[in-house]
Amino acid sequence: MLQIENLVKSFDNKEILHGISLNVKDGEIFGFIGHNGAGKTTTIRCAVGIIPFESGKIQIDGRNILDDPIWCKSVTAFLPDNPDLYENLTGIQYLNFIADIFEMTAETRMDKITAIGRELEIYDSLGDQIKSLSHGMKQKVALISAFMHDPRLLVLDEPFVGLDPKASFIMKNKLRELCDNGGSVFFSSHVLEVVQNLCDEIAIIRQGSIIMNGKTEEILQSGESLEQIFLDTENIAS
Amino acid sequence: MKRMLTLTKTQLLNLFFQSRSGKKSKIPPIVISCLVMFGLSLYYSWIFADMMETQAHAVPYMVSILGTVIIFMSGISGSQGMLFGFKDYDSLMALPVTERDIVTSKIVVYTFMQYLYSFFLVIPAMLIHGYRISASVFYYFRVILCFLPFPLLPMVLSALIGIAFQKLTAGKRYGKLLQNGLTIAFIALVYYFSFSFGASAGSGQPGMQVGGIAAFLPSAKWYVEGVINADIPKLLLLFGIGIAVYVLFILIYSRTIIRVTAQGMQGYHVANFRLKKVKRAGSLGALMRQEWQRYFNNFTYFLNTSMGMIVLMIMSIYVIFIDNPIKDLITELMIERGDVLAKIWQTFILAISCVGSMTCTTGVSISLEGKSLWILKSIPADVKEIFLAKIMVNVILIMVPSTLSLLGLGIAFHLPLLYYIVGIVMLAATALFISMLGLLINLRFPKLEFDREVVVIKQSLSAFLSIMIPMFLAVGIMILFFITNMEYFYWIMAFFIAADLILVFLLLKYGTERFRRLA
Repeated sequence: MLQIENLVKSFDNKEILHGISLNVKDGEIFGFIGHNGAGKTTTIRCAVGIIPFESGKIQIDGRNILDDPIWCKSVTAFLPDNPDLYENLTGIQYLNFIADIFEMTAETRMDKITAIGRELEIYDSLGDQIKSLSHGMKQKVALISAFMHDPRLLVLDEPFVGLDPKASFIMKNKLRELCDNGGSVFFSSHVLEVVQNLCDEIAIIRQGSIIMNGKTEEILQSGESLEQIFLDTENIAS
Repeated sequence: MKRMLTLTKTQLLNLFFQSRSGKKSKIPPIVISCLVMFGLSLYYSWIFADMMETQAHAVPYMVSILGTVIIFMSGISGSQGMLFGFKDYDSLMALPVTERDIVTSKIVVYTFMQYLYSFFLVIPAMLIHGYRISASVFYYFRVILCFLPFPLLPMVLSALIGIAFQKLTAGKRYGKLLQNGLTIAFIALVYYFSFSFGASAGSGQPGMQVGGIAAFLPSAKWYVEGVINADIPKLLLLFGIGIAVYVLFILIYSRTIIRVTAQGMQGYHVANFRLKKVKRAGSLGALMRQEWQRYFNNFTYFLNTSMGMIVLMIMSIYVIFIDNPIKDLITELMIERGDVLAKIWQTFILAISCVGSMTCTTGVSISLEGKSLWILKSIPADVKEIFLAKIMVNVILIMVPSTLSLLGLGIAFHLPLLYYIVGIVMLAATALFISMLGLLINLRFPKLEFDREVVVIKQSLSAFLSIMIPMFLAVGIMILFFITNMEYFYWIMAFFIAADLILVFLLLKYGTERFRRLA
């Protein structure tokens, strides 16, 4: 579903990503972990077409993001680490904006917004101005916008930050549900326990390079927790 | 006191050394803008001084009035965000400093900005005037020293109106709409009174008219007359009343400012929300709707770009109903001299286009995406469509009031059909030019990191350039039109159409690539 090959990205002549390669398969939840400033967010922002890159290739469902950005974006949903939404709009105005962009019919959007909104317990606040919402509530509005158009690929940057335990639980279920229906999820997180329990495949990035990548059970076969493995890789590198 | 000074210093540093790249610049961008403004003001003051040579002290009166009006009008919108409604409210309130320290530091920064705006407009003209009347060295001393209390009175008055508007509208569902409506009504009222006072005070002589208007703006009158005539009682009034009002404002309104800031940050809540079925819009429609919502929800954005058009519209409609000797004179001239008819209506069209050039929403529309830019970059919308939405909104904002003004003047002066046809073409060409130029400027000089939107709208390089370049171009074209005996109207129209085509090419070629690179 998402293929990243030899991705190189620089900022002001400083190379940040040194040839990243990853492959998120259909029906798979892919966890992406690394220390602060390792290059997770930059990789994600390149993958969803937010920032350009110097070299490499990114394909979503077989189509190149550079050649066919609109198609790639139409099958993808992205959630950034901090949901900076349009603060002056109400939740429902923002969701209608996204629904219009994704060409959702009036009936479908109503059903989806109602269902996901009630599930995440944000429905009653959708008429409120976004700037009046807490961080977690904004995150929930952003989650509805991501799920409501049935994306085939969901890319999330630190999705569990700010969510209450129930919303986190619902989101994990929804991620699994999306994958069971053939979709894929690629997300970064510092919550290693969630990554360990939820992901089919994991990659660890350090200073712009992938230092470990594989099936979760293969990585964990030594019996150590993901946290211990991650800390070991950090120690070896330093 | 020490804490207040620390707060003020930090806020001034933050304001002055904001840069697009995130790197600290050696020369603050605002200083460059001020120097450019100083140079332009010197140049135009000289030109106006030449034009108004026969009218004693007309230029000092004119710039002082203009300075006062700019401080007053920009203060109503600028006070929001700078004086109250500041985004660092939470972090400042958590610090061990008093509310008065916080408010005083905000007021000092706000005052500083008002000094900057007015200084580079008023002082060059006063210097030019001094040079032309061979004033003594004491004149120059008075020009600078007496400028200190000059902005205080209009600034405090505008801040009080800003606070009143904020108190009435903050946290309410249609608060922004109400705020915009109140502002339009207020502007209409100010212009109505200034027309009435100007007409009654000046006995028809332009020089005296300026002095007559100044009589209703005491700080402008005290400053000009105090400086030029070394009139000590007027200078004492300027200092005494200005400083007294300023100090009283700080003492009395500290708590109110904190309260309205807290109130304004809450946003609004809706009880018993029920999802309603909405009509599906295309992506262009959705993008445009989002632009409209941003425009009408941001008081400063709205006011900064709509004032010229609102005033023009009010004036054009006002002209239909008034009996004025100048109106009669123009009408008679057009009836008697068929050869000047076309020149007069061409002048009207150019004048409307000139005012339209002050409405440039695209100049900051990319910057205002700020931290939400990820939304536009990750949705499946073509960059060209995103640009088109931004341009269309700006074009509509110019075209609707411009067309009404065109109609108003056409009806008032019984102009021929050709006037309307040519007028629409010219207005469309200039509206497109302003909108596309603004967008290109903003793509070249985006400012995506900011703590308050007012910083982008009022102080960014892109905002400055997208207002100043079209404005000076418009003024230049008007001057060129007049000095060439009004012969080249259709060439000007052709220039704008050709410029539009070039801008389309630049946006498609350079603009889309630039947008992709923004992060």
